[in-house]
Amino acid sequence: MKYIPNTDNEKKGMLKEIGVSSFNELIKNIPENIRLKRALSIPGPFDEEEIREWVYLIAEKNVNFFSFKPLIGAGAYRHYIPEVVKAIVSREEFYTSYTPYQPEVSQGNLQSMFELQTHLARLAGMDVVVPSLYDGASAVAEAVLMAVRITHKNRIIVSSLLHPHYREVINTYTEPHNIEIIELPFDKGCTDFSDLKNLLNANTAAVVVQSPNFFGGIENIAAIASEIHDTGALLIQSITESISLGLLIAPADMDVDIVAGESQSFGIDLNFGGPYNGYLATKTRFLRQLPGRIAGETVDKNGKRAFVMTMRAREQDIRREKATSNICSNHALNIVAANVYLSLLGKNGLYQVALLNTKATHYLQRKLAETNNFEVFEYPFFNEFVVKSKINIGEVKNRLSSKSFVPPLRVDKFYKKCENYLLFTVTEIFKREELDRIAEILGVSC
Amino acid sequence: MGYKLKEGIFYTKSDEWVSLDGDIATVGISDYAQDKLGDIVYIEEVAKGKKVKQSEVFTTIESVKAASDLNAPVSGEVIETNGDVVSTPSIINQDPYGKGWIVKIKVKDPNEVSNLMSDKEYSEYRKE
Repeated sequence: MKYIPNTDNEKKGMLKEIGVSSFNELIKNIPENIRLKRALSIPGPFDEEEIREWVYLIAEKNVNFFSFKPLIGAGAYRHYIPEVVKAIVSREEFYTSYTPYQPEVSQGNLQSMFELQTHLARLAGMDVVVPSLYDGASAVAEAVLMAVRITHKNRIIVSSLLHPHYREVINTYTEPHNIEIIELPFDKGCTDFSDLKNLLNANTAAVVVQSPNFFGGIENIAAIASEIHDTGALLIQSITESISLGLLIAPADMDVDIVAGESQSFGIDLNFGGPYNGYLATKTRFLRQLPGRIAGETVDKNGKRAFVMTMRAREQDIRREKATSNICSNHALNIVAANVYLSLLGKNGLYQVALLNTKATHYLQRKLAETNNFEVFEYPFFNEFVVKSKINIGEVKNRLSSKSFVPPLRVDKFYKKCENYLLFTVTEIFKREELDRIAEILGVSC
Repeated sequence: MGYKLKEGIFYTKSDEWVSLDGDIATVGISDYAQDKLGDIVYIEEVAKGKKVKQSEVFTTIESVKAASDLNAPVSGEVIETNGDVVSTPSIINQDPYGKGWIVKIKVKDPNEVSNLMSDKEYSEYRKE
């Protein structure tokens, strides 16, 4: 990208063109108290060589991505990404193009959207898919608003093992609405549904459960579906680790109404936490309440297969303030990545990856249990699990990072009562010898 | 105006029509409205018993081009949504004043129709 500075004269010219006399007049609508009334504290000016050296010194603080393997996941997972994904994604037709305002001009993007919809619909067992929202968190918040629109009710029951950041986003999205949010407690690694019957009332719009949940736990969703539906409420499943769809029962087969997922695990790099890619999958009867956009297949005037943007009559550019949601963008490049990843792996490939994840994770949990330094819990889990550490958590962190492993997540960061609990994540990038080494490092008694 | 009109019913500025039979009002959209919307693909069913107010939104109609709000021509309580148009919305395009009616409302105040237009007034209003 070129850096184009503007001179004082150019600034004056632009201000004149807009019709204001000064920069301060231009920003007069911004409240005084939030304005930064000084120059940005950026060092310099530097000449080219000085800049090069300065940036180099900052970059040196990083460690090589491949020299550390992360035992932390919690919504952002490091998986193996085949080079083919990067090769296709970095083609300039995908990489540098902005969403055209006539979307049909960009047949490649629409085809990719259509194909990802197809993959996700098959994995979730659902009829319709919106293949791209900002991320899994905004997807689940949109699912909540959808449920409120569909049921005309306003109580939302949320599992406390829904990712804490996702719960925050739900709170932000619902704050201006008259929506009541109630949290379900957890027991060991799964949601405690024993109080669900009492909390479900005629005013309940939806129950939101993440599975695999924040502790990696596989929730018994099928067991609660009918009591939820009996009250007229909808069942929403949030998924942060979509690789699990390769192995676990499809949401539709557990009678889930709306799936709100994150597809980062499908060929998308960690990227410092974003951009990722959210998706929604649901049944045809809720189609009109979906936010965002869907690609459709049709034929052009010559009878050839072609793709169009469809079901967007309720979007912001048409409905303005009455739009179904304020989603007016998508993560097109990540759609391509997820689509190429799933197309490459195929049904069996994804199953193998999912199986490898869960086997490796269970292997490490058993190994840690054998060390006597960790208390493990009995619950079904996918590729993450929680343990209670008997050794000091700072010590765990030091031992692992000195041996080139990113330590697991401290659970008390999000759940205050869970002092000394650690959330381990294991994906297919770990070899058996590495898992043995981790158990060995952590097995030494203090 | 090259659009069909029906006599003896009342029209709104937002292109809905209403016909009165005692205290029961039947509501639909005008021929002009269906033509401007294009192919109608969806109408949101209105819950029975829903209270509506004159000139306020009571449901949404969706064509291939856009989703638009429908405003109640009179105040009252919705007693029925036309199930045929919910399942086959294109009926509204084919027969907007007949089979394409949308809801029936139990009217609160029949005098409210004095705020509406006759077919002649509406024709003048939509003259292009």
